[in-house]
Amino acid sequence: MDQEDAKTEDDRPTKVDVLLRPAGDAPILKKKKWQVDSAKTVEWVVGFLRKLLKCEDSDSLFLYVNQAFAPSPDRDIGSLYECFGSDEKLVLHYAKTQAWG
Amino acid sequence: MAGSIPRKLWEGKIPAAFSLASYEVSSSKQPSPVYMMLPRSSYLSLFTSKMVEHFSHYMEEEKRGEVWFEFNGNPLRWHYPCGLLFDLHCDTTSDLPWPITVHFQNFPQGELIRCNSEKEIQAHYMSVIKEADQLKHKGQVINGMRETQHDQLWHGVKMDNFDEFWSINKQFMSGFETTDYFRFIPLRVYFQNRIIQKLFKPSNNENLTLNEALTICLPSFFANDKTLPLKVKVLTQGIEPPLTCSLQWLSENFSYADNFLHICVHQS
Repeated sequence: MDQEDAKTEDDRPTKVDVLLRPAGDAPILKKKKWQVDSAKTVEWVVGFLRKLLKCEDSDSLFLYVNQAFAPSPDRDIGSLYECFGSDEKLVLHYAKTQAWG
Repeated sequence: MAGSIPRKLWEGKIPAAFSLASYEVSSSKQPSPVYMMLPRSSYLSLFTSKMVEHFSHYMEEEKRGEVWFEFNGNPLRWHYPCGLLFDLHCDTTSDLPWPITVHFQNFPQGELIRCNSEKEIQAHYMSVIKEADQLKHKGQVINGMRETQHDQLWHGVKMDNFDEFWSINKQFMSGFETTDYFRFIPLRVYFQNRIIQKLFKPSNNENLTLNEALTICLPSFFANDKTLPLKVKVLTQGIEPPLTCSLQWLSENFSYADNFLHICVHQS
């Protein structure tokens, strides 16, 4: 049993459709749906969004799943999709102030 | 109702010895280690102020940055419960008391999440428990609680007070809607630097076992014949549970304070 074997069980898609929705007074994006590599982390998505929204270094940006909880920065998008995706996409809400807890 | 198992697991603490990284000491005298009994459901960063108090006068003030913890070359993720960190990195035959190195310099950016205040630890904890309740009850239990009850959960964890914690936490242990089962079991499997999290629905299969969950997460290692593959060790809360354990039962009894089952799979 080698490491190669352990990898082959990963049958999930390599790309995930992520729908980014604003919450509170966060600005709306022109393009809302993005294909994200399933191995990318929440931290990466936050960095990507900060660039899109032209956030200043001092601005906060929060990301939420199911309008309920903020996933930890090192969480991968693939596992979020697997547990909380619906209709073949993962919906993430972003906010500039804390929206849910 | 709290069965005796969650209380026993809560009381099973990890002896740890915190030492300051020797190359960060600028005084002529080496500081003595800080010995502590770490609650498994607690978080390392809750002890940061103790470390600052004990170690800070052994180094120049201007060199004192954010505190982080390391064991055996591995930066320790403060956002994992202490018991999970121990199960992931340590061998009980040689690593007791758990020798943890405390650093005030060279924070490993990119490897660890920054933690500047207790509020961040609390926010992280609440996020994880909210995720767990999304899985268990579509978030209905946590959303039905008052904020003071949320605070009480955290206070119980922080103060290592099982009764305070469990008097609220027991609400998370009821089945989803009218069933005896959670909607899904909050479960994370840690294997070779990977975290695998999938949906496990106990009501589809009343006898859903740990073995079936591991077979779904790591099909190349586990098979449905319920025997443990050679050279593989399955560990949670410092215990090797039988693979025939029902997942629902494990979730009710062996979850950490964040309501997740954290299962480590080691290859020897």
